[in-house]
Amino acid sequence: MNRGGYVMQLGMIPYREAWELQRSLAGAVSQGAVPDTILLLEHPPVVTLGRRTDEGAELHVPEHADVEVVETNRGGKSTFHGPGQLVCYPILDLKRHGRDVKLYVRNLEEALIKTLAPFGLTGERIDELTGVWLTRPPRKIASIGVHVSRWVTTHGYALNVDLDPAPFTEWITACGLEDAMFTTIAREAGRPVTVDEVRPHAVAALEEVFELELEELPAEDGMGLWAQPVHAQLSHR
Amino acid sequence: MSEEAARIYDGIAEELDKAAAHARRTAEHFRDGEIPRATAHAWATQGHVHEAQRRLEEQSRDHASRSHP
Repeated sequence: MNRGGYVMQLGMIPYREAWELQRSLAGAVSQGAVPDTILLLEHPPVVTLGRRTDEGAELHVPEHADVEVVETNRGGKSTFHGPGQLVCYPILDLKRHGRDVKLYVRNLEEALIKTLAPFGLTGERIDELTGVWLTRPPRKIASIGVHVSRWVTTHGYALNVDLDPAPFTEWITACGLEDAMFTTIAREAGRPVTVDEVRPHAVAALEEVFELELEELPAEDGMGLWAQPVHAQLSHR
Repeated sequence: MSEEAARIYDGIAEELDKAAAHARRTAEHFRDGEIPRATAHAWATQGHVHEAQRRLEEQSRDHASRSHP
């Protein structure tokens, strides 16, 4: 039987606010106060640096660029987030999902591959390069960077839906990959695609891969809060 | 011993400060009609309150184990 969890559609939210939320929610998930919770959102333009970023080699943001640069605690190197990119931050207790960080990352890749399929795109893994790619020639469509503390996950993936991928190469050497190409769902599908169109496929893929039954919080006024016993029941399902 | 207890209560105060900050953001986002974002901050508030409560209970158990009425 699939476990219960929540999915929150947060819309456009600044990186630092989302990061603070993730850390606090991770505490709540860790204590069993809330069940596994997945945040889906977009960020205003921001360059984030991972624990393995070589700033001298990777960062070449032009002075005129209106972009925030944030050092984070996630794995991996530098990346760019901006409107038109679906960002997914699963706050999962890996004690319920195999206690295996490598498996968790492979599962995120699997969820991304399943999310791309309805758009006629075949996502692939490339050995030694975390993330999801389209191949022949290789072009990166989704990046992954995670942090795990007390088996609870933060950070996650960023899927390029419809944005100008130039910052990945012109502002930074994204993921530390010289000469790598970056692409988007819209570019590959040859038509405009919105984040709203991709989101249901992303949720379905996450449900399937992580064996979760995700409940989306309604956005209507007064409907956003559940009584605490419901959280407790869901987190123990 | 006193310093150790003080550090524990500093930690509890930090959790409650974080809870208060998230509660204020919750109110702000509810006023702006951003319900899911408000809810996320509300749950973050709960997380910090739970953690503060957990640490207080741990302290209580510790005190109880040392008392000899």
